[in-house]
Amino acid sequence: MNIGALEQHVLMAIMALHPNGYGVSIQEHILRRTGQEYSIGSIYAALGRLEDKGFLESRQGEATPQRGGRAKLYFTITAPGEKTLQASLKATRSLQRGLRWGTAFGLSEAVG
Amino acid sequence: MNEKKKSPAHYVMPCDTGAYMLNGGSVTFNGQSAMIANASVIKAETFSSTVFFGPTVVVHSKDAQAPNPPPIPHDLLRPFARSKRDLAAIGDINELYDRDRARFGRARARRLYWAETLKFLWPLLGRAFSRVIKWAVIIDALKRHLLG
Repeated sequence: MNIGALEQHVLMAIMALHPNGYGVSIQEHILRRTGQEYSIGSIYAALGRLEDKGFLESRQGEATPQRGGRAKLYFTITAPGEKTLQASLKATRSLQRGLRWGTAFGLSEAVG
Repeated sequence: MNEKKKSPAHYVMPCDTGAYMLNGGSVTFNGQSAMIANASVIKAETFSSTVFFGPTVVVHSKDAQAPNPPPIPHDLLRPFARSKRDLAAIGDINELYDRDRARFGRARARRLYWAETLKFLWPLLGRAFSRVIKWAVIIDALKRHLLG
């Protein structure tokens, strides 16, 4: 099953933060590692899609005053999720091997 | 409101959805308000197995810092708080507001809260709009079929 770049990022962040990955920590982790700032709305849309496909499991955490009394929702990756992420990363690596860097600058001939 | 006094300092309320909101010394649950006087912070899990079953307790310190986000976007979010994911997302937006307020000040935190709220609502509004269009097309087709 195919997953997009955002889903890939979210799954990797959840694996890195295991078992404490929730919306804000996932957003901060992706920002720190990639420089991309996704909104909470898009992260939850991706989390919803991944959970519906069975790639993630969630458990309710604590509510704090800073969150207006709302409980956190912690996410963990499932075995099918890990398998899909592996396949997706393998496909990305396979595509990377065929790249000819410098073509945009007319360097491919000089290099080749 | 169904409220149980645990001790002179603690007020414990059973709730079935977790859809509650804390605002300073008062608590609002499903549109009803009640004052919490001199309550201490108690974890929801503390009572879940001993006093109530399921998602249960709303307790908050009168002195603890509630985020107090801008009311208009906050009220816009509330009708969409249906699933546990939506509730958690709203909690995350509140947490971001609290963090941004400490980092950038209140004015910028309010702008960022508005931005996060609109980004959260946009796909939901888009889905609602497409549902309306779909039903309008179906009803129109039925009308044409039955009348024409």
